[in-house]
Amino acid sequence: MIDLMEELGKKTPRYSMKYRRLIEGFARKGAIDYHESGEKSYDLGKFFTNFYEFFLYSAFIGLYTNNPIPIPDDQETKTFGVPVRDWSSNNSAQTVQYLWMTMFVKSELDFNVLEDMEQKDVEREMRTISRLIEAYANGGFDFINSKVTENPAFFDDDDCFVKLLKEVE
Amino acid sequence: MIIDSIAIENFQCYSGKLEKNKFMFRKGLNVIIGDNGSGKSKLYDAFFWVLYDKIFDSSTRQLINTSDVGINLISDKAKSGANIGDRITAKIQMKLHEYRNTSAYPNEYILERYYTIEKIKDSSDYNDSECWKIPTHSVTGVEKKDILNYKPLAGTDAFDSVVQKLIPTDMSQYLWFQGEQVDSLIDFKNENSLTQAINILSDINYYDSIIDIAEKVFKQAENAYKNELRDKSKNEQLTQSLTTRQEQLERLISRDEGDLKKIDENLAFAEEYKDELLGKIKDAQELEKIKSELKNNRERINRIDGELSIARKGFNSNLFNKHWILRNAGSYFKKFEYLMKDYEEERENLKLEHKLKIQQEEAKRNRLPENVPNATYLQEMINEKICFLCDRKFEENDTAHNHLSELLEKTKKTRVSISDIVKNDFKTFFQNLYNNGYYLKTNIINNIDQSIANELEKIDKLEDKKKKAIQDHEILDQKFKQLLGTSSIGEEESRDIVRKFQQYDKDKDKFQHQKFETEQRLKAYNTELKDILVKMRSNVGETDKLETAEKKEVLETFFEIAKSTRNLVFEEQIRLIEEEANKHFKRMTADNRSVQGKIILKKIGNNYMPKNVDENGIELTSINDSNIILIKLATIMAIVTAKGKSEFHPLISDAPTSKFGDNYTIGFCNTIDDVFAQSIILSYDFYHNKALRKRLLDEVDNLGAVYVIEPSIREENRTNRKELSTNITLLN
Repeated sequence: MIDLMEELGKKTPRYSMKYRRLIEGFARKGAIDYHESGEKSYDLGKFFTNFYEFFLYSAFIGLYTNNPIPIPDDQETKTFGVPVRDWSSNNSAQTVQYLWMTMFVKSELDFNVLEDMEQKDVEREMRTISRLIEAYANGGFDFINSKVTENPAFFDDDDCFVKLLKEVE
Repeated sequence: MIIDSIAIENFQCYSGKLEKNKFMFRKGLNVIIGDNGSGKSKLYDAFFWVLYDKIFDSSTRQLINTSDVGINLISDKAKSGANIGDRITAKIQMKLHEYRNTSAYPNEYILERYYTIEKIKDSSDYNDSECWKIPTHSVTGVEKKDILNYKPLAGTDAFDSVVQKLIPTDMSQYLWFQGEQVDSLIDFKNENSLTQAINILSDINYYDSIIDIAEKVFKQAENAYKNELRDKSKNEQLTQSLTTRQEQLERLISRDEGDLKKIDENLAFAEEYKDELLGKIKDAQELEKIKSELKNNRERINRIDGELSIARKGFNSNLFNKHWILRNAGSYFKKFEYLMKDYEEERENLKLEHKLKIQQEEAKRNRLPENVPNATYLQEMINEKICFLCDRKFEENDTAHNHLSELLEKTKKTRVSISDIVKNDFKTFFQNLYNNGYYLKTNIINNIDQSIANELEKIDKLEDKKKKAIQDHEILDQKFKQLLGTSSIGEEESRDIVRKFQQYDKDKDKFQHQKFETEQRLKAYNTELKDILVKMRSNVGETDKLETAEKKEVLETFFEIAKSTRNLVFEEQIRLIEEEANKHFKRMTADNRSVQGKIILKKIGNNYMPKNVDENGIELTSINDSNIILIKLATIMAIVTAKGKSEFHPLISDAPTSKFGDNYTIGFCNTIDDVFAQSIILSYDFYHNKALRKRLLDEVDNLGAVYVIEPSIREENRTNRKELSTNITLLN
């Protein structure tokens, strides 16, 4: 029998390369990128300790703005190289599960139907969930990118990403 | 003697003829006011040069002869315009008269000095000494007024004798000094400094020579006495051992007396240095205290900065750590909850349907309704091997037994599992999502706004703390700068001063202890020495007369009298200076309420150190830099007035008040008139400080001439000195 936790956990979500610079601007690639200096500007600022944290944040922004933008097939994409089950920094695992929960809500997938599907069909549905996460993250990146273009000074403040949550309430 | 005028021609920055550069002086205080670089020091040089053929070299801080100054003595303006064959003369003419001459025609003199160079070659550099014929010596002239006309005075020493009348050699250092020399002129650390002054007043050297003679003859008599004691001894062996000890003690006494002198000197040094720092130590300690507070405050700011940095960096990580990211996601849990409810209901329905289906199938196959007999009775029948319906017995594994076992098995099979119905069971997965969602929604998401507010409040508080610390820092910094501005010590100096002060204090205690120990030892040695002489005397026999004894005793008394007389005379002169100095000190500080008490010259070792004491003789610790100079100036004045020569000689001084505040300066100006019939002061103090200049003109009694001197081209606008001359303006 298929294990959904395992099935979703092994996914390595993609992001569009057009947001690579945005991601690098706000997030450290990993713990080894840590700097002592108090960086906070857009170019140098690292508000998130991992790329995937920023991805998760963007997914929620996409969700709150109800702005899923599926990544077009012809667009160059990249993954973080880390499966979702290993997204565990700063209590991320709990956040990931909550995200899955919202995605099941958004997908309108019938759980009982899912239970009676063949393995390959279940796998397909899980791919759909993962693609949905990517779409919301992509929508979130799009929103943040527009914000950076319109009002870069907004991101000068240390609490900008918390303020952004309030803006998209 | 009174100086009536000095006229200067082509001497350094005073270019032009005698008539152009002329200062007329009167009895009382004459002041020449000028900015830095205006020609004050050159005027001081002019006074010195005309009398002594020397000028002050500011680079070496020494007086140098005309021959070493050469063409630099001559005005640049005069030199730059000269052609070959032109002769240029630097010339100074001083007119003076005898102030206390009671005749109708007091003696009037003119003293002159000339130095002439001749241009012999052209050069782009007019200061090239190759271009000039330069004499090795200057030429002097002296004239005396004979009722109507000045006539040259004959004799090789005529010039020097007039100079001697004006400024006697023994008094010259107290009549003629630069402000910066005051410190070394009266050097309380140096025993000779006061002795020199006292010698002028009392010929103390004469008493010193009497002491030398008295000591010499006493020692001779003492040696003769000792020899006689040895010669007439009745116990040679005892005398020998006493003599050996006597010689040993004399060596020890000589050594300890030498040490005591050094200890006294060290003590005086420590005391003087400590006193010099007394005026600075309060400021230095305060500066050090503020420095330490500034350091602590800097650390406090850094600490808060660190906490702020952590709080700010941590602020964003709270998006995950404290799940702020889910702030707007609460509603999704509710929706999921509905989904879960539907899902579970559907599952239950499926199970029920499945179960019914099984039961229906079973009903078709059995005569009895489902669960009749129920599983409990079936199990009992199997166990007891008897049918409760028909009472037939059976054995294990026979047909009846197997039938009942089969029925029992069927009742178990009616418990329905979801895996019997659908292909997957995701209940655990969805339940986990639900539990996670439930926990986050109930415990976290509902409180996120409060959590954010708490963190922001924490950062605000830290920022307030930092702001307060920065304000404190600015106040401290301002206090520090204010103190630096009013204090005479530099930023880096304070630590040194505090350390040195503590060191001198320790040294003082150490030397005092050494002094006490050495004196105690000397006392013991001298007592033992006297005992030895008594023993040696008793060794001679009571009835034997000693021929040298009386002479030794008389000369010893003579030696003691000579020493005590010298000390009495010295002490008397010290008290005289002290008394006179206090008069001048009191007058000079009349307008300054912060100055209290009086000066005493306290004997420390062989030196006398000035102390400021209150009416009960308790030492006041308020001697600062300017007070020390004030005390020294008061001492100089005291030496002059104690000698009683004040009415006969002028004072010429460059910048004597440079370390004073306004009140001291005016106090000095008023006091100087009590001491000198005429004084000529060169000063920067009244140049920019117009209020002080007004006080000089309004408040100072017996004011003579007041001049302002200014260079024709200000120093900052000067590219060369070719056009440089000095403008002289009389203010009163």
